[in-house]
Amino acid sequence: MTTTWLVLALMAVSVLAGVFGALLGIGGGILLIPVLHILFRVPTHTAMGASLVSVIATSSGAAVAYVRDKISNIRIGMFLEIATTTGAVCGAFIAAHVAVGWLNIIFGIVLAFSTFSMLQKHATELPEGVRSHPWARRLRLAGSYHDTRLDRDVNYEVAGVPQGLGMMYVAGMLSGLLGIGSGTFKVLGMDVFMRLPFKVSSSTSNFMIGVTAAASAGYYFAKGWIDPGVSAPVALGVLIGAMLGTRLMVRMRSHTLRLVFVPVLLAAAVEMLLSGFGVRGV
Amino acid sequence: MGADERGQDAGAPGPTGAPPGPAGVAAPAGREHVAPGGGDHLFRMELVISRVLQIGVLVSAAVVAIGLLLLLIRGHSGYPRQGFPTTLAGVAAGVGQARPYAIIATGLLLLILTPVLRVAVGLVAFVLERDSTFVTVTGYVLAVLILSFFLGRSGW
Repeated sequence: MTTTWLVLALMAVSVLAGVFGALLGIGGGILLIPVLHILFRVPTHTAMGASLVSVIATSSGAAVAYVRDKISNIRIGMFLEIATTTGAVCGAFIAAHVAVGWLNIIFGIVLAFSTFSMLQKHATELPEGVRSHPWARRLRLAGSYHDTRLDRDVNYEVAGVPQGLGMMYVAGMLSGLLGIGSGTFKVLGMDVFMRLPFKVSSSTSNFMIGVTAAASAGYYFAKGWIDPGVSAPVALGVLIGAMLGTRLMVRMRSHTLRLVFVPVLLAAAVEMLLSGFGVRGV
Repeated sequence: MGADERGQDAGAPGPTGAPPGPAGVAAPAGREHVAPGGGDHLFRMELVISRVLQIGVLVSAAVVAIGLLLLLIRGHSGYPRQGFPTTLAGVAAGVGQARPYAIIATGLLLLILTPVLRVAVGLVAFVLERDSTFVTVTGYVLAVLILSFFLGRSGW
């Protein structure tokens, strides 16, 4: 009996996390971990494992859209995956060897950071005067896409490849360390250092998330962090929620929703910090 | 429902002559807007593989759902206390005995494998394009993905 109720409750909560993750554009994983940890008292590593599995499910499920829109730059994605997968394995390794409190603290900080960057408006949709880094020329990373809103083809160059790689290593590390997709940090790297058009950054980031997550999922599985009793309802719930969320997205004004969610997310971040410092006995 | 999807999955690269199969090697039919980097091969391969991935996610979700239903019906995971299998051999043995947690773990493993499959197919695309730099890049990523499984197993 108790198993049944727990499974159903986990699934219901995960559907909501999937819906809001899609609507807010910050992904289901980062919402799930505090819910699982604070509300359901799931151990941190098990919450991370369930989140990571749900990240793979949503990103692989949506891959068709990101490839078909022809905005994702597959070459850039593949190249940067060198850094994200390496970072992810390192992050997972660290997660196995540091005190759990640290993971909760880092998670709290990352959640607070993601909340603020969710609110930030992008100064420029299309960066001007970008000159390709020599590596970008050698790797033929520059590309073009058709912008439906501007109704023209946009050609773009790719700057700061080494810095971008560095940032991707950090993004991958956070993904492996916390069991999240870390899309925020991937977009940041492509935005700030490589100076890609925003649409290309976000689409390519989504393209990369599944592969990055898979790089630590094997490690998680072997370590026993992917508990079937938690991961199964969570993965199915988030998958359903994300599909609903993408449908709803067209009809809702996401900015208002984001403002509404800021206090909730910040409260969750504080709870995770407190849990990490051992103030709360979660 | 599960059998239907499985059938499609097997049919995709098979001998049906349907669009997905020969797309990777056939002459480009609709080249309105070439993908970044000029890799038409790559783009078509990616499109095919992302469809296969979508089916892969559905199949693994179906397997997870079957395991979960079995768990709810039986009210027992098939493992003592809060245990569950964490090795391929353990999962396979548990599936043989129809233990709910082993069936769920199979679905989850299939799910984890879907992005690995994408990288493997990307590697093939770059080999076909004779792009040696990206063969190295993709080969490295694939190696890391495979290595991470063994790293966790080794007790590190």
